[in-house]
Amino acid sequence: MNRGDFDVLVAEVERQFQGRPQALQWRVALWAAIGYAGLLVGPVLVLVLAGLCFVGAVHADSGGDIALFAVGALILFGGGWSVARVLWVRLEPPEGARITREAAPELHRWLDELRGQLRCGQFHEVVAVPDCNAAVARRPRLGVFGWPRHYLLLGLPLMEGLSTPEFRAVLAHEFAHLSRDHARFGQWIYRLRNSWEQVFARLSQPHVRSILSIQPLVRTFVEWFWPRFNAHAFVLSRAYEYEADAVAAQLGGAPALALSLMRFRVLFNQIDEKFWPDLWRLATREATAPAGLFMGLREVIRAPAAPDARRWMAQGFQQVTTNADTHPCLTDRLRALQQLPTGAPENLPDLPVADPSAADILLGPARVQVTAAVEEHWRKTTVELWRERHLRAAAQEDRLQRLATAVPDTAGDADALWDQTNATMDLQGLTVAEPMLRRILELNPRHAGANFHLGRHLVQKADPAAEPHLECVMELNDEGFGPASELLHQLFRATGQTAKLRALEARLDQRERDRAAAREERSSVNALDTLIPHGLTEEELASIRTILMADAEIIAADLGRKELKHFPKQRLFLLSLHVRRNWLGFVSSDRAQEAVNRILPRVKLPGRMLVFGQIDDFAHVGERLAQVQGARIYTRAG
Amino acid sequence: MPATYNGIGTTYYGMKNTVSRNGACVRCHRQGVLESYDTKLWFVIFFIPVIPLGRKRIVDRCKYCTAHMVVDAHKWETAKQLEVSGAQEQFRTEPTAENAIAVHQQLLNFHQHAEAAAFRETMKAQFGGHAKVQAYLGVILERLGQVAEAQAYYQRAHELRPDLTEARVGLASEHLRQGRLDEARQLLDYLQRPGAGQLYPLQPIEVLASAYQKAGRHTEALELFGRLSAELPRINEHKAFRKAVKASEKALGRTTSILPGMKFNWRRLVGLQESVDGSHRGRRILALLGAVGLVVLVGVPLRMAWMRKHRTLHMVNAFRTPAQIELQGQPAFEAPPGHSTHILPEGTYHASVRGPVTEEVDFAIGEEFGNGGGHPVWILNVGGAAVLELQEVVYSRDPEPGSSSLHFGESFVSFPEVNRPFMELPQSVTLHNGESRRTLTGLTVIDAPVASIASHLARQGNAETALRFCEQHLRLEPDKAELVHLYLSFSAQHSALPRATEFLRQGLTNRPVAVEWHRAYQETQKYLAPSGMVSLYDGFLQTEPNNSRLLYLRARVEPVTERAQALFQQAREADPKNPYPWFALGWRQHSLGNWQAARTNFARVIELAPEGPGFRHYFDETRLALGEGAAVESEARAELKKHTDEVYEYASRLLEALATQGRIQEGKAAVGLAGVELRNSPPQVNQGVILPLEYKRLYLAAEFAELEKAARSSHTMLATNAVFYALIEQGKVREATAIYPLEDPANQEPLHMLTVALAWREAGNLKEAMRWQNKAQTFFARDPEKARVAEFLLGARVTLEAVTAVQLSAKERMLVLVTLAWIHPDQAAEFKALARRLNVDRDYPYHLVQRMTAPVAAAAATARSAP
Repeated sequence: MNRGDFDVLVAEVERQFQGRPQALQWRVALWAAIGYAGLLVGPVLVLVLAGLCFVGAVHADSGGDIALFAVGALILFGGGWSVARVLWVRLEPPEGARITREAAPELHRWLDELRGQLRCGQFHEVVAVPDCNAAVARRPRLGVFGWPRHYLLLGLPLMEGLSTPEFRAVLAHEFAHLSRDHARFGQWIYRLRNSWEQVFARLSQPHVRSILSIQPLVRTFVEWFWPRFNAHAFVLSRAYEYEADAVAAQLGGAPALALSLMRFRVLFNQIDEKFWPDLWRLATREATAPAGLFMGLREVIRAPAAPDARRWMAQGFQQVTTNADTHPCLTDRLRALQQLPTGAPENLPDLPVADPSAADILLGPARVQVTAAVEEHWRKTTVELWRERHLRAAAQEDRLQRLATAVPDTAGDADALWDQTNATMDLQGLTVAEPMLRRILELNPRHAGANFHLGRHLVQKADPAAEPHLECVMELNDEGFGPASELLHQLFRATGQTAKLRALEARLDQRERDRAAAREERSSVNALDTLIPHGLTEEELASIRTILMADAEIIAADLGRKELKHFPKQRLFLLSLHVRRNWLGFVSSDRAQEAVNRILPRVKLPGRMLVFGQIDDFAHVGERLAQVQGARIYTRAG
Repeated sequence: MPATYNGIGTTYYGMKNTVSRNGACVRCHRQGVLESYDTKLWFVIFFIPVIPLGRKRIVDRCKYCTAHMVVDAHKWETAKQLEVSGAQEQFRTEPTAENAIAVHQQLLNFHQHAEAAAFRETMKAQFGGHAKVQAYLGVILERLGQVAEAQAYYQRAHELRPDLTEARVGLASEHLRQGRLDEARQLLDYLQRPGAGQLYPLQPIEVLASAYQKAGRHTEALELFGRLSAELPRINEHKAFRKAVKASEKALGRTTSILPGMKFNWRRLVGLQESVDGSHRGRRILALLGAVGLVVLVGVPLRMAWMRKHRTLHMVNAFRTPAQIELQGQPAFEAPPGHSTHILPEGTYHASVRGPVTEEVDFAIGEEFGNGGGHPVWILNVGGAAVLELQEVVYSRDPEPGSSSLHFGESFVSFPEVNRPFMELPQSVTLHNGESRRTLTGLTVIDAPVASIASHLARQGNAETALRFCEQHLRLEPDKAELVHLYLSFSAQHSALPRATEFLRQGLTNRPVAVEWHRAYQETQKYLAPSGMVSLYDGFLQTEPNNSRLLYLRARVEPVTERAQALFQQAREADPKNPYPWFALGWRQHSLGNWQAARTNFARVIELAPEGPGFRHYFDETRLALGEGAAVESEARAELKKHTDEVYEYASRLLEALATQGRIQEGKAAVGLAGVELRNSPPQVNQGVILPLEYKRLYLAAEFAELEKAARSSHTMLATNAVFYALIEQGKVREATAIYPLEDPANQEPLHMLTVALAWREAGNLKEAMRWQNKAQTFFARDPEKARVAEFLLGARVTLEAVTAVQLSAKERMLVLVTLAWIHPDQAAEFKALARRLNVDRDYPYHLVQRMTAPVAAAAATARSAP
């Protein structure tokens, strides 16, 4: 099921269950039951079949019982192993620095109080992470069958950037999903959907190690089941996002939640566009990551970045709600909270710095330790990446120097300039490389690489000028189509171009459907194809006739075209040669093929071209072609 | 792939549009010429193309292993034209370097090498100043094996863009080929910079390092290995890389290595870790081991379960008819004569055996030998009749004694370990390395007549086993005369007559009456309680007055001859098919020399029971007495050819028939005939038959000196007897009695004593004659039936009628009459005449009696002819 179909299905579910949340719950429950049943089919089938064999073995006569026992054992071991391998999906626990109760008692006391107010279950671990996020992560111990461990992930940037009431509102939203007081069934579905989303993503990964596996069957089931369940659960989950927001607003106040949502937009982009790029750029100079990197995080977050902040805020308000995420867009959420600011987003006042931050209050003296622990954890996980990045930078520097020596002036050499740009992008980022990209496009406007990277750079700035560059990449080659379309999707979403977003998604769906067919269309010809007149001028035909007349074996020729649906602008010509028959009145296949071999290198037509004789499967195509109006372009006189 | 079988199948014929290229085969990976061509697939019969199955394009056929790809010629042609023309059109529209490369690639993809070569000229002209196109052409030509041409393109590319890595690698390759390592290294200097591994493949550096190492320039090699080690940390775990580094370090005498220590990794230890080249050999091995483990895990219990459900019950049936065996709750099955098997699950069974024997047997299979290990054997021995021999043989370089045991009499037996059940053990085995000896256990059924087995057991000195064996088989076949006599004989020899008597007594009441059993019992009681026997059988007859067998047996113990004869007749009338009364009546006539009357009775006996004990002997002897020698000879010759297992009996009869007819000179040929019949028999069997026949022939031919000479060369009991007979007949009586101590109780027999007495008389030693005659008299006196003979021998007056009234065999009567003829000279003629009439058995002492009963003149002549 592609995006378009999914959107249609979601819309259908929304329409069908409009104002009937109870009915939707029951329907989702039914789908969940189907899901569990489908997943249990394998194990149950194995157990039942093996059990039947063992029961049969006990009651069978001598001889047959051994065979049944053997079959039963085979089913139990082989089938059980196969089922277990597929269904036993292990998800790694989230990585980060554990914040123990001893290390941050105030935080845990605060969390306990919040949990108590929302009647929310215990977390197995509280983990500080370097991401700008706060979330509850579930890791099912039994794979598709659940029994999760709950991890509360607290993003250090978020704690540093938000005030305590704002942070409380964010966590209240997350805790509401686990609350026993609020729509327990719906929250269960919400959690189930989250778990299955991760597990099914793993199940859908290609797996070719074992020849004999039930994975294809499971995948088939998942591919059928998951979009249907997800469409229903999606509608329900989105409803519960609003409900979670309502719970959080009730607990901490709507203004605090609204402020946290808006501040989150700024913080996220600030970290994504400033903190991390600057940090990784250090790798070009430093062999190892310098100590105290994360201590600078606080300063980055608090540094005044008014123009950027306004831009990011504006982008946040431009975003629209899509079916790619259960969370509604910022505007919808604020509207639901009745906290949507009036006036244009760009005119909104700058958000004040949260001082003291949630980290200051909740972590207290442990803030430094927690920050160091997060940094240490990050350092461990990225040490190899940092080393590679550093080495790569050195190699790129060397490459640039060699290039400068080999081609002192790259301005007129697109190839050399492209090599230089690649290295520059890698070393200094897209902003520095932007002029070079533009110079390449001046030399070669259809340069795929330059178009892609310039488009990427503009998308980061939510600049609609990225669109033509990315469209060019999508037209030029298959390899670039996917990444370019992703960027375009990102652009349309960030700029709130809903219509273009829908059109792009429809186009992507169409491409997914037609990709193989399009390839087949241009590389094969058969008698069932639609044939159309060649459409060539008399001048163009004259040169072909001259070639044909020079060959005494050819007595006639038909010319036409295959109609291309996927590439209507391209032309695929069919030239059918009629050769002299032998004394028995038959067309010799060898003679016909020889004639084709002689003519083929000499004929030039403005498009793809297939030259063939009246032999084998080509004979039927030739017959069809002869019936096309104006196809006979040559008949030997006499 | 097309294939033919005996010329029928599919095959390719024809080869057109052939294109060749150098490359590596995808299957055998050998570098060579790969051919692509159009052909036709045919259905062929005897390799004659019959049905065309379509045109095909053979792609990249390897001349070494013939591996290739096949596509429909139509599809190939279509795809080729469309893809190439599509790329060409793109290039025409946008004549960029990328599009030119795309056209070239398409031409190569479809093996259009000539067109590709032509297009390269276009590229050369159009993109002569484009470094990347030049480098591309260099790479392609090098792949196509056109190294020299490739170098030109590389050189051009390098001139245009000295930094272009493809050109540098291409030029460096050529330097490497030429051995110019430093030049190659200079070109590849960009790969030796820190971080190069992040941007470029470092394989050229590895090749260069190896080249330095081969050239003995280990310092340079180590420098490059060091770069590789720093750039690609994972390569340090690669065995081949470590080996190469260590080789250079060793060559330079380095004591410290540039290699980091290999971290312990249990996944590598078990081969689970993915190798550097990306293969999953370890995983495959582990998977294989896992599969083997699973097979063992499942297979062993399955195998044991299967074994427990499929135990082999061996059945041995020593009888000539099949036995029906029915196990409770299971369909009946048959145990044919000999060895057979039946598969059963382990458990406890109750078997009902019907057929040659009727018995109920309870047995258990499997439980006593644990969980299925070893080689246990379970045997159902029908009636316990078969004799099983369990042999344990030790095979070793130095022969060691084995052991053997016989098992019989039990209907079910089991053995915990038998390597070769019901198979002969091999003569030799090959011992494995480190194996000094091997013990094999075999179990076989002894396939021989019961009497032979019993005799064998007795000869082995295992009297108890022999007696038990006889008793076991007598229970099964109580009327088997041969076995009964053997049993009595063993009992007598091993002082076990009381046991035999008791054993036989217990079976007297069994019905139907086993005549031979009763006769044996009567033999044991002859000297002990004759009167008791009469009352015993009278008692039996009270309940079964018309039982022919009982009447016959009662007659046998009747002391009064006339009454005995009357009872025999009564028995015959009670059951005319009972051969024994007929035989008894015939025997009586035979003992009197009434040959014709005897013949009539014996003829009936032979009709009723041709295989009966001694029946044939008496019948033939009677016929010989009546002058039917020619008929007996003819029958003996015929039987001799039919019965190779009874050669002695029929050859012996043939010799007697020849002697009766005065043709004993043909005896040698008769013995030769026996030799022919025994040509396939083992030597010991052959000698065991031929020698006695030869002794007999010599005796019948009265060649006593020859007989003595022949027999003295052997030391068997038979030879000793033959020497004894020869000496007696030659008048060397003292010598004869010296080698054959008749005083030995085991040899004491009144007829022999009478014969020796007669021999002494003939030799003129009356004193010795009387001594031996008195001995004989003493023995006759002990026998109630023959007590009268003892009286006769003491010298009392006796008439011929009185002598004929006594129950004596023909031979006994003959010897008694010859002796009485000496005691009563006045009646000598009368006695000698009857004695001579009765002397029809040509065996010893035929010649002695003939001489002593001959008329005076004839006797003198006979005596002279004797040596």
